[in-house]
Amino acid sequence: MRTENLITVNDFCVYHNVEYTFIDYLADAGLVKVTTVNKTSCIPLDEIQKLERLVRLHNELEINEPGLATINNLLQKLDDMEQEMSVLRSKLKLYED
Amino acid sequence: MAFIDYYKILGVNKGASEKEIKSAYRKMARKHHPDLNPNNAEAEKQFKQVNEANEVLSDPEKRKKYDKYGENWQHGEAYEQQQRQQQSQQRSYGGGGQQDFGGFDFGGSSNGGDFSDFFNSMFGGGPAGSGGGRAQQRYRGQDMNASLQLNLRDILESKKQTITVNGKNIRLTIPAGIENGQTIKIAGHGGPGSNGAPAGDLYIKFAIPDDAEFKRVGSDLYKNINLDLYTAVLGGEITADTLTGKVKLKVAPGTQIGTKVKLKGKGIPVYKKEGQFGDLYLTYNVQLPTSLTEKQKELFEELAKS
Repeated sequence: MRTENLITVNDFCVYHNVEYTFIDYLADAGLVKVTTVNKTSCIPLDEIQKLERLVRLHNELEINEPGLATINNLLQKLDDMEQEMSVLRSKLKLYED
Repeated sequence: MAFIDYYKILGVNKGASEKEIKSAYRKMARKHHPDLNPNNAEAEKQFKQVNEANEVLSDPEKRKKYDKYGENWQHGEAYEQQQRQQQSQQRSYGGGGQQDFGGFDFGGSSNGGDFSDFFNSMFGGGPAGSGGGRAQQRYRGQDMNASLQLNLRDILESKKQTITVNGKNIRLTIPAGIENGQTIKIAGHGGPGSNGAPAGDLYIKFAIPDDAEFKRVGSDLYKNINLDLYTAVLGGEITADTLTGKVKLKVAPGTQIGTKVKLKGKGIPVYKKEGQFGDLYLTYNVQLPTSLTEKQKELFEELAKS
């Protein structure tokens, strides 16, 4: 038996009350991964958390699709910088000790 | 509970218009939104305050009460009632001295804790005496959806299956004969509830696409089967595949193209009806020879003349 960790785009849109075109845009912009299984567009479960964050930003802060792409990019940079900072802090601690 | 200055939180003055409040709320919400401030507990706390401020100031009724009673806007009526009772007592007993409000402290200092519990309870928060802090609403966890793809052979008997949804292993029994598109609910396996509220449910939708060989209609299966010309004309025996194995079939002489044969009980199990199965319908498709030898050609010509 094959277990697919997928949710159909349709189900997601109904559940979160978002337009299908919204997901299309995010997928085209490379913000979320959408796969097609038997001609049905599906979202892998490991993408859901990221997608729900984008939906929240869109719904709660009225951020449009291009804005979401920018924010996503900046958050990614922030995350990278935080990781880098953490590594540098560890290195610095070695010298301080 | 200390006084919360909602105007200060949103950064507007007391005379701010609805539009100004809305605009300020958007600005502050964008600034403190938890998704934009990952792993920042302070931002999350401020976002909650901004939401609470907006809830009060964007509602004209609530705002009016808030302006009148400050932090205790929700208890304005109770306060007024208390005041009326007090005035009535003062008139009855002819007293003119100062009395306190018997538990209601609108100064927000000494007895603020008591009031804060009442305030929380008005927001649907924790029970009285649970301590200060902001309203803690109970939200049932989110329902979650997942899809599970199976093939026809997977549903010939009920099976126990472990699936992983959001990192959690969930055991479920997939009943034999489940339909394509059917959804089953697994109670309590959705998102966790907040503040002790129950978890949501998990809905699993089954996708069972048609097999390359078999077409499913309810519990019945349909399949096309090729017969060579000679078997179709003269009759004979063939072997046909079913979902559960091969079966031998007798073909009557003179079998026509499109003839249907029913194999009873060789379909899909009937959903939730143990021991009952649908049927398998085979449709014969006669294949005509395409490259005849000279000898075969002659024999067909003879046949045609006879």
